[in-house]
Amino acid sequence: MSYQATAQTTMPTDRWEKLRERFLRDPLPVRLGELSSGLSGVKYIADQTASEKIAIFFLKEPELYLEWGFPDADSALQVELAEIRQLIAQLRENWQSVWESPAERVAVGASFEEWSQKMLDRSGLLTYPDWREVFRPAPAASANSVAAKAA
Amino acid sequence: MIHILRSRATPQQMAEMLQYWELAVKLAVDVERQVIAGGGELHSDCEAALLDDGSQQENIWGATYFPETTLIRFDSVINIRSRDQNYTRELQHPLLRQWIAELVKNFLEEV
Repeated sequence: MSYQATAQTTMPTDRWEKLRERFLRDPLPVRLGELSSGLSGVKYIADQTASEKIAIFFLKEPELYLEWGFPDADSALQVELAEIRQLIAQLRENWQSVWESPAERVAVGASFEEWSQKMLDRSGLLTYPDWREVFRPAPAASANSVAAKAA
Repeated sequence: MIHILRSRATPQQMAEMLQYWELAVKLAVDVERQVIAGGGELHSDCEAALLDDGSQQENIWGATYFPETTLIRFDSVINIRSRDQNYTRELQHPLLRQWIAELVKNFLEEV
Protein backbone atom coordinates (compact mmCIF):
# COMPACT_ATOMS: atom_id res chain seq x y z
CA MET A 1 0.00 0.00 0.00
CA SER A 2 1.36 3.41 -0.91
CA TYR A 3 0.54 6.26 1.44
CA GLN A 4 0.49 9.38 -0.67
CA ALA A 5 -2.66 11.34 0.06
CA THR A 6 -2.76 13.96 2.79
CA ALA A 7 -5.13 13.37 5.66
CA GLN A 8 -7.31 16.23 4.47
CA THR A 9 -8.01 14.81 1.05
CA THR A 10 -9.12 11.50 2.49
CA MET A 11 -11.81 13.05 4.67
CA PRO A 12 -14.96 14.72 3.31
CA THR A 13 -14.74 18.51 3.53
CA ASP A 14 -17.75 19.02 5.81
CA ARG A 15 -16.49 16.47 8.32
CA TRP A 16 -13.00 18.01 8.17
CA GLU A 17 -14.51 21.43 8.87
CA LYS A 18 -16.53 20.16 11.84
CA LEU A 19 -13.53 18.42 13.30
CA ARG A 20 -11.40 21.54 12.81
CA GLU A 21 -14.02 23.77 14.41
CA ARG A 22 -14.32 21.42 17.37
CA PHE A 23 -10.57 21.17 17.84
CA LEU A 24 -10.04 24.92 17.78
CA ARG A 25 -12.67 25.52 20.47
CA ASP A 26 -10.35 23.98 23.06
CA PRO A 27 -7.64 26.09 24.75
CA LEU A 28 -4.07 25.71 23.52
CA PRO A 29 -2.87 23.41 26.36
CA VAL A 30 -5.70 20.96 25.70
CA ARG A 31 -4.98 21.01 21.95
CA LEU A 32 -1.33 20.28 22.68
CA GLY A 33 -2.45 17.39 24.85
CA GLU A 34 -4.54 16.03 21.99
CA LEU A 35 -1.61 16.42 19.61
CA SER A 36 0.60 14.61 22.10
CA SER A 37 -1.85 11.73 22.23
CA GLY A 38 -2.04 11.59 18.45
CA LEU A 39 1.75 11.56 18.09
CA SER A 40 2.04 8.77 20.62
CA GLY A 41 -0.28 6.66 18.48
CA VAL A 42 2.32 6.58 15.70
CA LYS A 43 4.54 4.39 17.88
CA TYR A 44 2.10 1.58 16.98
CA ILE A 45 4.16 1.33 13.81
CA ALA A 46 6.94 -0.28 15.85
CA ASP A 47 4.74 -3.28 16.60
CA GLN A 48 5.83 -5.87 14.07
CA THR A 49 2.36 -7.43 14.08
CA ALA A 50 0.71 -4.08 13.38
CA SER A 51 -1.89 -3.60 10.69
CA GLU A 52 -0.54 -1.25 8.02
CA LYS A 53 -3.97 0.30 7.58
CA ILE A 54 -4.18 1.13 11.29
CA ALA A 55 -0.58 2.37 11.32
CA ILE A 56 -1.42 4.82 8.54
CA PHE A 57 -4.53 5.85 10.43
CA PHE A 58 -2.42 6.82 13.43
CA LEU A 59 -0.62 9.31 11.24
CA LYS A 60 -3.86 10.99 10.26
CA GLU A 61 -4.81 12.47 13.62
CA PRO A 62 -1.64 14.46 14.36
CA GLU A 63 -1.42 15.45 10.71
CA LEU A 64 -4.90 16.97 10.88
CA TYR A 65 -4.20 18.77 14.15
CA LEU A 66 -0.96 20.21 12.82
CA GLU A 67 -2.63 21.33 9.63
CA TRP A 68 -5.33 23.28 11.41
CA GLY A 69 -4.58 23.69 14.65
CA PHE A 70 -2.17 26.06 16.43
CA PRO A 71 -2.53 29.63 15.13
CA ASP A 72 -2.04 30.94 18.68
CA ALA A 73 1.22 29.12 19.41
CA ASP A 74 4.24 31.33 20.14
CA SER A 75 7.19 31.39 17.75
CA ALA A 76 9.25 28.81 19.64
CA LEU A 77 6.35 26.38 19.61
CA GLN A 78 5.65 27.12 15.93
CA VAL A 79 9.22 26.05 15.14
CA GLU A 80 8.69 22.77 16.94
CA LEU A 81 5.34 22.16 15.27
CA ALA A 82 7.00 22.77 11.90
CA GLU A 83 9.61 20.14 12.76
CA ILE A 84 6.88 17.63 13.54
CA ARG A 85 5.10 18.43 10.27
CA GLN A 86 8.39 17.80 8.50
CA LEU A 87 8.79 14.48 10.28
CA ILE A 88 5.32 13.40 9.21
CA ALA A 89 5.92 14.55 5.62
CA GLN A 90 9.16 12.55 5.51
CA LEU A 91 7.42 9.48 6.84
CA ARG A 92 4.69 9.85 4.26
CA GLU A 93 7.30 10.23 1.52
CA ASN A 94 9.22 7.15 2.63
CA TRP A 95 6.34 5.10 3.91
CA GLN A 96 6.96 1.96 1.89
CA SER A 97 10.63 1.63 2.78
CA VAL A 98 9.96 2.38 6.45
CA TRP A 99 7.12 -0.11 6.63
CA GLU A 100 9.30 -2.84 5.16
CA SER A 101 12.11 -2.30 7.67
CA PRO A 102 11.53 -3.48 11.27
CA ALA A 103 14.44 -1.38 12.49
CA GLU A 104 13.15 1.79 10.83
CA ARG A 105 9.71 1.20 12.23
CA VAL A 106 11.12 1.01 15.73
CA ALA A 107 13.19 4.15 15.15
CA VAL A 108 10.20 6.06 13.78
CA GLY A 109 8.05 4.95 16.70
CA ALA A 110 10.67 6.19 19.16
CA SER A 111 11.01 9.50 17.38
CA PHE A 112 7.29 10.19 17.48
CA GLU A 113 7.06 9.13 21.11
CA GLU A 114 9.77 11.66 21.94
CA TRP A 115 7.82 14.42 20.23
CA SER A 116 4.67 13.26 21.96
CA GLN A 117 6.33 13.71 25.33
CA LYS A 118 7.65 17.14 24.37
CA MET A 119 4.19 18.32 23.37
CA LEU A 120 2.71 16.94 26.56
CA ASP A 121 5.34 18.84 28.54
CA ARG A 122 4.56 22.01 26.57
CA SER A 123 0.87 21.60 27.36
CA GLY A 124 1.46 21.76 31.10
CA LEU A 125 -1.52 19.47 31.66
CA LEU A 126 0.48 17.17 33.96
CA THR A 127 1.09 19.98 36.46
CA TYR A 128 -2.53 20.11 37.62
CA PRO A 129 -4.42 17.65 39.86
CA ASP A 130 -7.19 17.90 37.27
CA TRP A 131 -6.52 20.12 34.27
CA ARG A 132 -10.25 20.47 33.62
CA GLU A 133 -10.50 22.86 36.55
CA VAL A 134 -8.12 25.21 34.76
CA PHE A 135 -8.75 24.50 31.08
CA ARG A 136 -12.36 23.50 30.92
CA PRO A 137 -12.96 21.60 27.64
CA ALA A 138 -15.30 23.29 25.20
CA PRO A 139 -18.81 21.81 25.05
CA ALA A 140 -19.59 19.55 22.12
CA ALA A 141 -21.35 21.20 19.17
CA SER A 142 -25.15 20.83 19.19
CA ALA A 143 -24.96 19.04 15.83
CA ASN A 144 -23.16 16.19 17.54
CA SER A 145 -25.82 15.71 20.16
CA VAL A 146 -26.12 12.47 22.00
CA ALA A 147 -28.41 9.96 20.37
CA ALA A 148 -31.28 8.30 22.23
CA LYS A 149 -30.01 7.03 25.53
CA ALA A 150 -31.70 3.66 25.44
CA ALA A 151 -29.56 1.14 23.60
CA MET B 1 -22.55 11.02 16.52
CA ILE B 2 -22.16 10.09 20.17
CA HIS B 3 -24.10 7.13 21.46
CA ILE B 4 -24.47 6.19 25.08
CA LEU B 5 -24.42 2.42 25.34
CA ARG B 6 -25.80 0.41 28.24
CA SER B 7 -25.72 -2.81 26.24
CA ARG B 8 -24.42 -4.14 22.95
CA ALA B 9 -24.34 -1.61 20.11
CA THR B 10 -26.36 -2.10 16.96
CA PRO B 11 -24.67 -2.03 13.55
CA GLN B 12 -26.27 1.34 12.88
CA GLN B 13 -24.93 2.77 16.12
CA MET B 14 -21.47 1.45 15.27
CA ALA B 15 -21.64 3.01 11.81
CA GLU B 16 -22.65 6.34 13.34
CA MET B 17 -19.89 6.16 15.94
CA LEU B 18 -17.36 5.58 13.14
CA GLN B 19 -18.58 8.67 11.32
CA TYR B 20 -15.61 10.90 12.11
CA TRP B 21 -12.61 8.67 12.40
CA GLU B 22 -13.77 5.82 10.10
CA LEU B 23 -11.43 3.18 11.51
CA ALA B 24 -11.70 4.12 15.19
CA VAL B 25 -14.27 4.98 17.82
CA LYS B 26 -13.30 7.38 20.55
CA LEU B 27 -14.80 6.24 23.84
CA ALA B 28 -15.39 7.37 27.37
CA VAL B 29 -16.21 4.55 29.75
CA ASP B 30 -17.89 4.75 33.14
CA VAL B 31 -16.41 1.77 34.94
CA GLU B 32 -18.83 2.11 37.86
CA ARG B 33 -22.11 2.24 35.91
CA GLN B 34 -20.72 0.12 33.03
CA VAL B 35 -21.80 2.59 30.41
CA ILE B 36 -19.90 3.64 27.28
CA ALA B 37 -20.19 6.90 25.37
CA GLY B 38 -18.70 6.49 21.92
CA GLY B 39 -18.33 8.36 18.66
CA GLY B 40 -17.24 11.86 19.60
CA GLU B 41 -14.66 13.82 17.65
CA LEU B 42 -12.66 14.00 20.85
CA HIS B 43 -12.69 11.94 24.05
CA SER B 44 -13.75 14.98 26.06
CA ASP B 45 -17.02 15.09 24.09
CA CYS B 46 -17.74 11.50 25.08
CA GLU B 47 -16.80 12.36 28.65
CA ALA B 48 -19.21 15.31 28.64
CA ALA B 49 -21.98 13.03 27.38
CA LEU B 50 -21.41 10.65 30.29
CA LEU B 51 -21.37 13.49 32.80
CA ASP B 52 -24.69 14.70 31.38
CA ASP B 53 -25.97 11.15 31.72
CA GLY B 54 -25.16 11.10 35.44
CA SER B 55 -21.65 9.70 35.58
CA GLN B 56 -19.11 10.88 38.14
CA GLN B 57 -15.82 12.23 36.80
CA GLU B 58 -13.66 9.87 38.83
CA ASN B 59 -15.29 6.85 37.17
CA ILE B 60 -14.78 7.98 33.57
CA TRP B 61 -11.78 6.90 31.48
CA GLY B 62 -10.94 7.45 27.84
CA ALA B 63 -10.02 4.84 25.25
CA THR B 64 -10.11 4.31 21.49
CA TYR B 65 -11.44 1.16 19.84
CA PHE B 66 -10.49 -0.10 16.40
CA PRO B 67 -13.20 -2.53 15.21
CA GLU B 68 -11.18 -4.05 12.38
CA THR B 69 -8.44 -5.32 14.68
CA THR B 70 -10.22 -5.11 18.09
CA LEU B 71 -7.27 -3.02 19.25
CA ILE B 72 -8.03 -0.86 22.29
CA ARG B 73 -5.82 2.11 23.03
CA PHE B 74 -6.03 3.55 26.54
CA ASP B 75 -4.41 6.86 25.68
CA SER B 76 -6.41 10.07 26.14
CA VAL B 77 -6.01 13.53 27.63
CA ILE B 78 -9.08 12.88 29.76
CA ASN B 79 -7.09 10.21 31.61
CA ILE B 80 -4.65 12.77 32.99
CA ARG B 81 -5.88 13.04 36.60
CA SER B 82 -3.29 12.94 39.32
CA ARG B 83 -6.00 13.21 41.97
CA ASP B 84 -7.27 9.82 40.73
CA GLN B 85 -3.70 8.48 40.72
CA ASN B 86 -3.33 8.48 36.95
CA TYR B 87 -0.36 10.65 36.05
CA THR B 88 -0.16 10.19 32.29
CA ARG B 89 -2.42 10.10 29.27
CA GLU B 90 -2.33 6.33 29.30
CA LEU B 91 -4.59 4.63 31.82
CA GLN B 92 -2.21 2.84 34.15
CA HIS B 93 -4.40 0.77 36.47
CA PRO B 94 -4.42 -2.85 35.17
CA LEU B 95 -7.79 -3.69 36.68
CA LEU B 96 -9.47 -0.64 35.16
CA ARG B 97 -7.93 -1.54 31.79
CA GLN B 98 -9.24 -5.07 32.13
CA TRP B 99 -12.75 -3.91 33.05
CA ILE B 100 -12.85 -1.49 30.14
CA ALA B 101 -11.57 -4.14 27.73
CA GLU B 102 -14.29 -6.52 28.87
CA LEU B 103 -17.00 -3.91 28.48
CA VAL B 104 -15.75 -2.90 25.04
CA LYS B 105 -15.63 -6.53 23.98
CA ASN B 106 -19.19 -7.12 25.14
CA PHE B 107 -20.65 -3.92 23.71
CA LEU B 108 -18.67 -3.38 20.52
CA GLU B 109 -16.76 -6.40 19.32
CA GLU B 110 -18.01 -7.94 16.07
CA VAL B 111 -21.01 -5.63 15.86
